[in-house]
Parts: sequence; C-alpha cells; structure tokens
Amino acid sequence: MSRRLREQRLCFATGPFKVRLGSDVDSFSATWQRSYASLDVLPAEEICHFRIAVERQRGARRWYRPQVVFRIEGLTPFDPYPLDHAFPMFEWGLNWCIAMSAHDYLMLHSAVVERDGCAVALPAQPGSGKSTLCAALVGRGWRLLSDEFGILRHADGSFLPLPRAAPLKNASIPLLQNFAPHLGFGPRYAKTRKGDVVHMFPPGDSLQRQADPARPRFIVFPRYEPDAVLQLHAQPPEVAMTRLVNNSFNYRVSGAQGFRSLCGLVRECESYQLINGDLSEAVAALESLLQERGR
Amino acid sequence: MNTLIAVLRNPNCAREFSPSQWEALLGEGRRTRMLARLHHLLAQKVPDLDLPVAVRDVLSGHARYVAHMHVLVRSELRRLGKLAAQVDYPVILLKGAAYLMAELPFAAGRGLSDIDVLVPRHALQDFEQRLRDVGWEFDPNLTAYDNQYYRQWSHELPPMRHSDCSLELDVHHNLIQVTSRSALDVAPVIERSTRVAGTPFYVLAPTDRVLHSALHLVMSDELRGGIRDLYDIHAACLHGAARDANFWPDLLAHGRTLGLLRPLYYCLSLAGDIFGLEPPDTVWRAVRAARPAYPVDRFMSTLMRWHLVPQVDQPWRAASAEQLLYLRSHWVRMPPGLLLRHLVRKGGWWVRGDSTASGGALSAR
Repeated sequence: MSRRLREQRLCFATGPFKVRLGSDVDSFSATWQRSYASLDVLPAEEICHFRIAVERQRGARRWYRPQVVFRIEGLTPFDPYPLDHAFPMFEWGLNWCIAMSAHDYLMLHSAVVERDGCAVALPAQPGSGKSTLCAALVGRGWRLLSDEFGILRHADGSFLPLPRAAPLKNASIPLLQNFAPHLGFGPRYAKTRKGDVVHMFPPGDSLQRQADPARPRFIVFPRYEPDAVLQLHAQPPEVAMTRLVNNSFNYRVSGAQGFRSLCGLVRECESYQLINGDLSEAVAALESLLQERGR
Repeated sequence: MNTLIAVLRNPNCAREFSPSQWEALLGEGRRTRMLARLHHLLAQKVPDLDLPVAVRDVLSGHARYVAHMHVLVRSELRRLGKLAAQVDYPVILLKGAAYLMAELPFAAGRGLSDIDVLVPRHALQDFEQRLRDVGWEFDPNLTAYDNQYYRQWSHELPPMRHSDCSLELDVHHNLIQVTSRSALDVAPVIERSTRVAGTPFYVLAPTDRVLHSALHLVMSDELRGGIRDLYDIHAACLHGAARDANFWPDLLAHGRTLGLLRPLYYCLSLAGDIFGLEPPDTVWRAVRAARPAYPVDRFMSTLMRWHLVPQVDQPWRAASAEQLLYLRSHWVRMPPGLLLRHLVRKGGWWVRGDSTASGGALSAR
C-alpha cells in the first residue's frame, strides 16, 4: 500500500466519493494506513472524484523546518502545514474538497451515528462537544456515519455514511481515551489551529458498512456546558428546521430541493436540545432515548 | 490540457474516453474553472452519453454551485437596476453579468464572483455617490496608496462591497488602464452599447464584447483560467457571426478604430489553433496584418500557448510563461516611471514568491 501511495495509485472510497491519493510523506502513509486499515483498496484504473497529493514542500523548506502541501488536481488551495501535521491537513483538506463540490447532496455540519437502524444527527457549531459525544457513542458500539458531515440524499432522505478519522481536541482527548480505551487513536498533533488534536480512528465495522445509508430518526443539538445538569428538551420541527438551515454547508446552493429535503427530515425525526456537563450522562440519555422512542 | 480542449472542440469525442482520460478531464476542468461549463456542454451536445459516476457527480455539483451564483447575481442586478433606472447615462454590464443579462448561450455554467459595470467617465462620481448612498462601500483597509493607484491610474474604482451581498462590484470607466500605452477612447464603445430589452441595463455590442475579452486576456495580470476566457472569445465570435452577417467585418472595423487589432490578432490566432475558429479570409488577412515583427509574434504566441495549454510533463514552461506574461501585463499598462514607482511600492513579490498565487502582489488589489 505504501508503494501505491508513493506512486499516486492508491484509490479508495469514502462514503459516496472516490479518492486517488498519493504521498511521499512516510509518517502520513503510516497513520493513514492505521486509520483506514479496514478499507478496501479499489483498482488503480477506477475513475475517482478527487486526485489528492500530500507532499513535502520542495525547495529550501524540504530541509529547513520541513513543510507539507495539500494538492487537489495539482492546485494548492491552502498554505503549507508543518510536515508532521500531514494527516490532519489531509483530513481537513478532503473535507474541504467535499464541501466545495458535493452539491448534489444536502450537507449538514453534523455528526451522524446509527444503532438498530435509527440514525441520530448531532448538528452543532464547533466547540459544542459534537465530536466528543459522537466518539463516545461510537465507543459504546454505535455505527459511525460521520463526525463532520450529515450527507442527506435528496432522492430518499437517508443519511449517507462518510466514516473518517474524528479529530478530538484538547480536554476531550484524555476524556475519550479513558471512556473508550478500546477505540483506535492516532498520534497527538500539538498546537494545530484548533489546539492539540488526536484522531479517533473509524472502527472497522463502520468502514465496512460505508455504502449502507441509514434512516434518520432523531436530531439532537448537543451543547456542552461545564458542570451543567443534564437537560433533554424536545424541539418543535419549525425550530429544528431553522437551526438546520443555518447549520447546513449548502442549504442556499441546494435551492428548493434543499428546502424540501430539510422539511422531510424534520417531519421524519424527533428533535431535541441536549445540554450536558458530563459525557457518561449524555451517552446514557441518548441510549435510553433510543430504547424508548426508537423504531 | 488535451482532453479538455478535445471536449470543447468536439464533445462527441468523450464517447471514446478511457478512465485515465476522464480523470484528466476532471483535473483540467478544475484547474481552469470549467467544470460547470463542461456539465452544460456535455448535457447539451451528448445528452445520451452515460457519464462515469464520479465525473457526473463532480460536474453536476459544480454546475449547481455556479447556478446558485447566477441566482445571486440576478438578484443583485435587480437591486442595482433600480439605481440604473434613475440615471440619464448608460450603466453597461461587462463580462459574466452581461452574458447572464443578455441571456447568451455560453453564460450557462460560467462562474463569476463579481459584477463588472462600465459608466462614462463624466458620470463616475455621480454613480459612485449613488452606490454609496445605498450602502456599497470600499474595503476599509484599503491603503492610501492603493486608493490613489485606482483613482489616478486605474480604469476602475477600488472594488466595492455591500453588507447584504456576497458579490464584489467593480465600477469601470474604461476597458483598460488609463496609463496604458495603447490607451483607449472608450466613447465609441459606450455609443454602440445597447439596452437589454425589459431591463435598465446596457451591454456592449457583440463586436466590442469580443474586443474587450481579447484585451482582457492579453493585458490582464489575472492569468489563471485563461483558456476559459479564450473559449468565451471563441463562443462569442461564433454566436455573433451566427446572428449578424456583418459581425466579422464590424469586428475588424471596430478593432481598427479602437487600436485593438494586435490583441485581437493574438486571440483569433490562438482560438484558431486551439478551438479551430475560422474567421472569413478577408477579415483574417486584415487582422493578421496587425501582427508584430516575426520574432515578437513567435515569442508572444509561444508564451501564451504555453500558458493557456500547459503540458503536464513540462510544468516549467507554464510557470515561466506565467511569470513573463505577468511582468508584461504591467509593462504594457504603465509607463516606465510609474511602473518603477509601483514596483518599489509593491515590491518584494519575488522574495515572497507569491506573484501568481492570487491575482498578484504587484497589482494594487
């Protein structure tokens, strides 16, 4: 696989998208392979959506404080990162490519997990504990659809998986490593734009089932507040709708179709606001919600 | 660049594409910002062709985004239209916004992120004031030097923004920098512009549209996506010639009186080479007579070709062509004294190495 990566011949699927990836950064190749060990590699002649390279910066910066660049089709849309941050740069860059191009879907800024055929969307702004809660549920055996993208298919209103490494930040890192030590975790990246980052690797089962969509059942808007007492309030559909409009990456681009799909989503789902100060309590609340009101 | 050009010339050739050619097309389309254009071209010309899933997804995703930009532009034009209806001088839409308003077929899938308008110089102050009255404003971080650069030497006001609008508005009073050696008398262009039926806006005559694009392609420092602009010129010529038997002779006549035969020559010759554009013989001979001396002609044509049609195995060609064309764009737009002052002021781009990154550090923007 390392050879394929060096020769830009590594093709893989991530949810509905196919990527051709190349890299001459060995530490990146190693982390990528640990994170996506259970992915099936596609034949090299597959036609891919995105051709991406994660490469050492040439010139003086190859030797002096080495840097890494993210290329999509030979273009470099971002400033370089320090060489040892190649993996977070790749994850972030591929998310950017998807967000800029996948306008045939409605994209929510949301984690999505699934259990017993019920998908739960966790739409939230950065800093609200979305990734932490998502990773904790995955630690309890929920299927990871996505940590970042709720990809809603207009045709049937189901969520498509996009299982990827989920970045945990700062205080969430030890919290999760204690809560679910059996999960796979990547190396620590110190002082990124978002502070210290450690990725939770997607479980093998989630990767294996990345072609299986899931029916939405609950929309839960999480908000972490230190020391808060757990609260789970039902949200009327019109409130959920308004919040999702502002949460979507491409609601306006999607036009009338986006409106119809969001209406369908809030009609099909029960919506809640979740305020929590303790991760175990939040996980327990969602598990009992699923037991009582799931399908 | 070969697959993109092949599809633009003859969309039917996509029927025979191998997987690696499809991938090459996606790469070339993205680098030249023509993915949405390709979506419409293939849907119109080879509607029965089943595109590979990844190709279909990427093209239609970008086409949706561009369609959304068009909605934004149209709604902004409705607001600007109220303003344009109140004044007694023509407010002329340029480039993308004009193609949309005039409903030209090649507007479909053409991306745009700003609205360009042209007003007569004597009306510039009035129009600027009216825009400011309804909330358009200049970048508050604009330096005094940049402001002076625009006001004194440029052919446009500094870009304007509005808090309700994600688009930038560029207000021009000429088609080319006023300090250019080939300074342009824009009066006949304004004279020939026509009102778009049912709107308060004017657009350039079809011949002037081609001349403006040619000028832009040959003089501009915004080099990326040059093949898209050349394709616009090609499409605008075909469209103009199909509507009006006098299009070609008029293009020659207007190019001559405006002193723009040289840029027209470069563009028609490149569009001929690359897209197979064939102007009538008499017109082409007369335009060709305006070419520079043989070595200059060879040099410029080669540079522009290297830049417009970069070969993957020779990236240095495109890179050096870009650097040289970028320098040339400044050389032709400013007399040496002014250029020297501007260089001193904006200098250091070769140290930062960002000359071609984003419109360039040399220009005031």
